[in-house]
Amino acid sequence: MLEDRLLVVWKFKRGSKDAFCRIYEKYRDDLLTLAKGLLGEQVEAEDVVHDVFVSFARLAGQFRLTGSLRGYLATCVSNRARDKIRARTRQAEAQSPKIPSVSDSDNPAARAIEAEELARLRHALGQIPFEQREAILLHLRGGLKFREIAKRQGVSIGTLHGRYRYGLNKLRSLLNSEVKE
Amino acid sequence: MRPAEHIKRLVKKLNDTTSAEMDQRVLTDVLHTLAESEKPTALTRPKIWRNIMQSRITKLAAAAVIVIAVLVGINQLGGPASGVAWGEVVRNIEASPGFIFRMKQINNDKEKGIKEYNMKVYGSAEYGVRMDGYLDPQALVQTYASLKEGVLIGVMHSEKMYTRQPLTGDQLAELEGLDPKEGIREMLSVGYRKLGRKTIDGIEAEGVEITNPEGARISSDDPIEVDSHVAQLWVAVETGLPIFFESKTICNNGTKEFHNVQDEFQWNVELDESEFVPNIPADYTLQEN
Repeated sequence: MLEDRLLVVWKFKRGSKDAFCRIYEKYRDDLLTLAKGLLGEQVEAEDVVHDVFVSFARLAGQFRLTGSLRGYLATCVSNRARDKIRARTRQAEAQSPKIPSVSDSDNPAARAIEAEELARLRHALGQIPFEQREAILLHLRGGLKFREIAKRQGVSIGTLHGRYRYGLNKLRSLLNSEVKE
Repeated sequence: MRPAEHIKRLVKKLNDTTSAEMDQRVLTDVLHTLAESEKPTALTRPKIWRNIMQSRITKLAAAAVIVIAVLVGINQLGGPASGVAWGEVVRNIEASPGFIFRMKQINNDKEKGIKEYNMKVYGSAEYGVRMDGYLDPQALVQTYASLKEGVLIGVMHSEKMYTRQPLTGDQLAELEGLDPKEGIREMLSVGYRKLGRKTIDGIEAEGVEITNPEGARISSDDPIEVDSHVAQLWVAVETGLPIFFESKTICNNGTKEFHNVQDEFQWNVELDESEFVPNIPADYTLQEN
């Protein structure tokens, strides 16, 4: 896999700016999306991604990768996002200073509808419990398998499946209720 | 009513992109980090003790060598202090055909919770090292590092399974004489201070203390960044042999804490070779690492 080769280059030529840049360019948007999905806040999400990459640069030569690099970085983002949420004294509102990218559809009306749906989805994500949000985003956006997420959450695979399913149902319910309103 | 598949598709369509300012901030800080960390630290070196710890079954045991490590380092660095002749301590240990001590390791992870390991360590310059550890009172894990056979064997009795892996030439070289050499010298080379005397369990002892984070020897499945590290070694004034060791290492912005205590030392013990030969029941399964 390309990501494995990138990591090898990075680990064995530690200090290679080119190798790091390729890794950063490959994963930065995915990780920012994940962080923002978990935190619902742009500045905090950027800070988390920044910190993950700086820590990765510092520790890259020391850790032993047992899964995919993408999964490892996604897990790091999730850990730091969890810390941020714990540190919050109040729930941050899920606001995005940037307009999210939408599909490649040429139909302006369809793009507008989708942009609106994505905005509602972001808001809804902020309303479900962190563990459910984490399960959904790590699986669908981080590429982690259910058993990997279950392990990091310290729960059984059955519990994790439940969190994932309940989370999706809750999102569905939230989005539908907004439509009805 | 939107189906779940629609929600999944929406989640997959979420897409944020980093700004040029953020890219610049990350790359600038990474380059700075790289410049700062060009000098390798003890934590980055794949020494035998770290390799041993990478085995799930045997990683409980690695901290057991810290006492020896500390002493070798002192031997490299120190002149004699009043009372304990620190330069003699390593020679005293080397003159001991075998030793036994007790070790307790407490790992406090903010996310994973607290884990406590208790073990007894048996060492022989001729035969190797054996460590009997308990994950809990019912789960005995035995680790054998055999100098004669050049293998590392871990036996997990509660699971009825064991691991067996060869020790490489470098690993064997480090095991022989129970002398971790370079890695240990690094640990002490970061500096230490003398603590003076105190009585421990009725024995008059003198101690030294290490506080430099680079002196920490921590193994973890997760990336580790040491915040602070304090280790103390106490040696009996009368015998010049260690009687107590304790270290506390805080990592990753205070989210992980490693506490290690070694005591109940017995030196100059004659241990039989059979103590270092694992007796693996026939119904145990070999676990491939």
